[in-house]
This record gives sequence, structure tokens and C-alpha cells, in this order.
Amino acid sequence: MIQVQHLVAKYEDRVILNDISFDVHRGERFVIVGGSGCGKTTLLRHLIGLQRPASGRVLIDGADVAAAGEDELRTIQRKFGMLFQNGALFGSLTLGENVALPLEEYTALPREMIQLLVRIKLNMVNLGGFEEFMISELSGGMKKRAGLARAVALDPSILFFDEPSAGLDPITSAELDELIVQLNRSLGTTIVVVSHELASIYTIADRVIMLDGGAKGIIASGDPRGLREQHDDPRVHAFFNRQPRPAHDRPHGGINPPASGSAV
Amino acid sequence: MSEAAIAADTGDTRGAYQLLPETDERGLRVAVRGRIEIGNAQQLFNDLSARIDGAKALALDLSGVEYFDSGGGAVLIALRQRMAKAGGVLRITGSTPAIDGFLGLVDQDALLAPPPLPVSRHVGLAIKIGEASIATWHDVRELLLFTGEVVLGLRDALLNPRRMRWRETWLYMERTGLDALPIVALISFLMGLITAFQAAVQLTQFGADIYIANLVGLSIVRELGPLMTAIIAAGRSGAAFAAEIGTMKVSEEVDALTTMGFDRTRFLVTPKVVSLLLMLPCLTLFADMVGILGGLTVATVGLGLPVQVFVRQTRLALGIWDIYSGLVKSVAFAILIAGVGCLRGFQAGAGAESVGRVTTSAIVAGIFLIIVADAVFTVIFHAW
Repeated sequence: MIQVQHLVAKYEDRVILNDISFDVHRGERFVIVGGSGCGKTTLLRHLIGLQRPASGRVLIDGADVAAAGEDELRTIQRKFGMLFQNGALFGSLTLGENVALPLEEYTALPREMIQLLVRIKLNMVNLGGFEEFMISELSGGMKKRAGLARAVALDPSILFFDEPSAGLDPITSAELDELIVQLNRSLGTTIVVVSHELASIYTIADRVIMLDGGAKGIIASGDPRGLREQHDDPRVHAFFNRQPRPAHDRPHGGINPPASGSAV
Repeated sequence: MSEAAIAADTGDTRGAYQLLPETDERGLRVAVRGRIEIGNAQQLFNDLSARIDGAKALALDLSGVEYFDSGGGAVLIALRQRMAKAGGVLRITGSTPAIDGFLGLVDQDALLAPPPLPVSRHVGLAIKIGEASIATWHDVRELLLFTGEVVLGLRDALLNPRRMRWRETWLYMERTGLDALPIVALISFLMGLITAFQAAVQLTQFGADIYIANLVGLSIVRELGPLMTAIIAAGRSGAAFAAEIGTMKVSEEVDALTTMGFDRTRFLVTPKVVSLLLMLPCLTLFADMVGILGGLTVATVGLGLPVQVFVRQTRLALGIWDIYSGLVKSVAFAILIAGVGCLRGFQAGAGAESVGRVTTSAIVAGIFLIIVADAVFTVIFHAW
């Protein structure tokens, strides 16, 4: 379903990911894990075509995201939905209008049908009856679920999630994880999640790959429970058992790139 | 089963479905095969609705469905609603794991209930007037409070110059002053040029070409220079201040400053006000000179006046007070522009849209205040 071949990702001259390859199979729940600043989000942005790789290929259903032109990329992007970290809902629209937007833009359905679909989507994420709410009136957990409702508006065959549990309480977070698993089981949607929350990873993942900032690539892959029990790499062992890294292995100074200057 | 198969081409390349209807003593039975998806949901609903046609019971056999998504879900729920309204029943006799999975995700009873009515936002005239009055009162109160804050901030800066955030102030001086030079130069040169040209057409009729220097000099230095520069600054710097503080407000940076015990005026407002206060008079002087240069260009090229003559006449026409009065105005304009820019920034609510709104409001209010202040100054200077 998704094939990543020899992907190299750079910011200017700084290499973030060096020559990584992996496949995600249809109907799989695939989680990309790793510590902060290891390039998880960068990898995700390459998968969904927001950033182009320095070299290598990203194939979704055989179509190369990296080489696609504007129109082709848009066609590929309609196959998947993306839930951004903070929902990324449009603040100028109501919740219902947010979910209706992709349906209005990409289908020829009449108004009543779109309204019904919006209600179905919101009902799926337990937000039934909140159609008329403005985004600023929603809590953090509701925004995530609303973002999910918008992401599944067109019934995509792949769903991408960027840190679904970030900023959520454990209960809301567990409920969202459950919803992700349900979507996968019921609709067969392929799930690709970026996360560093161990609880989420164990609930969601069929298979994980672990990225490491120092190695600029994949240092482990497989079933997360298996990786927790037995892996020789101390970084992998520390991550899946929630332990501090060996002292000699910690980087000094900042991990993230310095922010560029803002303009007045 | 009667094989009256109807192939419905949905016009969507993604696929089609087949309806296999038959009627028995218990009502209408329809077997659906193929794909049911968002793309053909409406068509399927229309086809099935046409077939029901008053039937009290409809049994759907969906075991032949190859693909089913929420479009199919919408068809089932819309059919249920329709049957229920007519007092009939919809039964699903055959299903697939995909359909069961989908139906397991949603609460069908909740969806069958009528949708919640949109909240009525209609209010009466009296309420509107009342709300507008209260909003205006709040706005005035906020403006007064904020003016007080700015005055106190400026007093602190004067009494305690070392406590000023000079690093930010330098940065803002560069952005509001130096970076504005090209646009100020272009606009004031053209203003001088246009004024001189319009004047020349009239003055040459009386052989009074030489007075073009008086007209251009006085109108630029007293009025157009300060005014145009201030309007440019409102569009550039006032808007930037509002957008910057508005974004900080939205991303809780202002709250962070307050929580850390910092004075938001000293950190965010004073550097901006002081920098514009220092730079706007400089920009105005610069605009005066470039504007007169524009007039000179028309006078020498268009009317053939020698440069020395134009310069001498300008010096005769302009008193030092003319230049001062322009600078006094520009100081007042600077406080208004920077103040209203910062105030509007702090008034941002939540979200990107509110930042856009306060930025617009900063420019509109800035230009409005500039013009009003200019009128007040004109009256004061005239009475002096």
C-alpha cells in the first residue's frame, strides 16, 4: 500500500533521515516511533507529500508522491486522510462545516446527503449534536475527534495520525486509540501513526519502526511487545521500557533546529 | 428471484451497483450487488426510493456488496428515515463484515432522530442597540486603560532608560524606519511631483511659475509629508504590531509573559511605541525632502526654472515653524499608530481569523485617528 524506498530527507544541508526503506501493508496498523527530534514528523510530512525528499521514492498504491505533479499529488492525497496534532480545524467554520468541506468540494452530493454524512461522521467520533459548535468552543479532546471526523469524511483507505495522544488526558487518549483500532477493524482502513506514547503504541500497533536521531534512520522494527522483551540495542530497550538512555548516548544541547527569524 | 437486473452507471469511474428487486407477500425485497460508496450514494438512494413507492416493508439483501463505505451508511439511514416516516420498516437480510463493521461504529438510533435545529442567532433591534452600546463602552474603557498603560510605560522608559528593552527597540526601529525608506521615498516623490504638476498648470496661466516652490514646499512640509508618512506607517507598522501581538495572544505567549510576572507593556508595547516615536519624525523629514525634490523635478524639467531659483524660493517660503509643526504632528501620529496597533493585538480572541480581524481594525482605526488628529492639529495651529 505504502512503499518507502531509499528516502533521504534534508533541511537545507542537514540530513534528517538517511536512506530509509520500509513498506506498510493494506489494512495494517503501523506506528512510527522514536524520541523527540528523531525525524518522525519529518517522515510523516514526506509520506503525505507536504515535503519532497532529497532523493528516494514514496509510493502510495504504486503512485510516487515524491515525483507527482500538483494535480497528480491531489489525486493521491484524496486516498488518505490526515489528523494533525492539534486537529487543524478551520476556526472560521462550525464543526459541521469543517466536516462538510471535503464532501462539498470533492463530491456532487446534494445538501441533505452531505448533512447526513456529516452527522454520521460526527456520530462515529462521538460528537453527535455538536454540528453547530464553533471550533473555539471545543475542548482539546473534542478537537482531535473532530479532526478525525474531517479526516475520514471521504472514507480514505489510509489514515495518517501525527501524535494522536499529544495533549490528551489518559482516558480521552485511550478512547481515541480505541477509535483508531475500531476504524481499522471495521472499515479496513490502513493506519499510519506517529507517536511516542508507549501506551498508545502497544494498543494501536501491529508493527512499528523505530527512528533514531543519531542514526538518522530505522534502528528497529517489528511487534512492539517483542521489541520490549528482547532487543540488543540499548536505545530500543530503553525506549520500550521507558528508561533513561545510557549517559554516553545523550546528545548535548538542543535537538530541534533553531527557529528562523520572524518578520514584522 | 426475478432477474430484472438494472445496471446503474453512476457516472463515477469508481464503480457501479446492481439492483435485483422482487416482491413477495411480505413486501419488497431488493438485493444489491457491487459497490456502494459516497460517489453513488445519492443515485442508489433515488433508485431505491423510486422502488419503495408506498411499500410498507423493504428487505435489503446486501450480501453481494463488494465495497461499502459511509456513503452506503448514509443510504441505509436515509432509507430508514423515509420508511419510518411512512410507517414502514426496513430490514437488512444479508450483510457483509464491512457493512456490520460500519454499522457497529455508529449509533443508528441517534442518527434516526431529527437533526438538532441550528441555534437561532436572530436578535431584535433593541438588543442589537444595547449590545452595540455596551461593546462601545467596553472599547472606550479599554482604550482609556490602555492609554494609561502606554503613558506609564513611556514614563518608566524616560525615568529608567536602562530598564527599556533596547534590543527589541533597535530591531523595531530598523523595521519601522529604515525598511520603510524606499516606499516613503517613492510615495512622497510622486506626491511632490503630482502637486507641482497640478499647481504648474494653474500658476503658469498667471505667469506665477515661481510660486510653485511656495505651494509645494508648504503643502508637503505642513500637510502631505506627515500625513502620507503616517498612513504608510499605519499600513506597515501598525498592522505588523497588531498581527504580532495578536498571534502571541492566540498562542498564549502573552499569557506566558504575564504568568512569569513580566509587565506586558514594558515587554511588548513600549519598545514598539518608542521606536515608532523616534522613527516617524525622521521618516517625515525624509519625506519632506524627497517631496520637495519631486516638486523641483517638475519645476526644472517642466517649467524650465533654474534649480537655484527654486531652492531660494523654497527657503524664503518655509519658516522653521512649518517644519516643526509637521514633526509635532508626526510624534502624535506615531503614538496613535503604535498604540492602536498594540491595543488591537491584545484584543485578538482565539484563532487565525481573529488575528486577521484585529489587523484590519488596527489599520482602519490607525488611519481614522491620524485624520482626526490632523484636523485637530490644523485647528490648533491656525488659532495659535
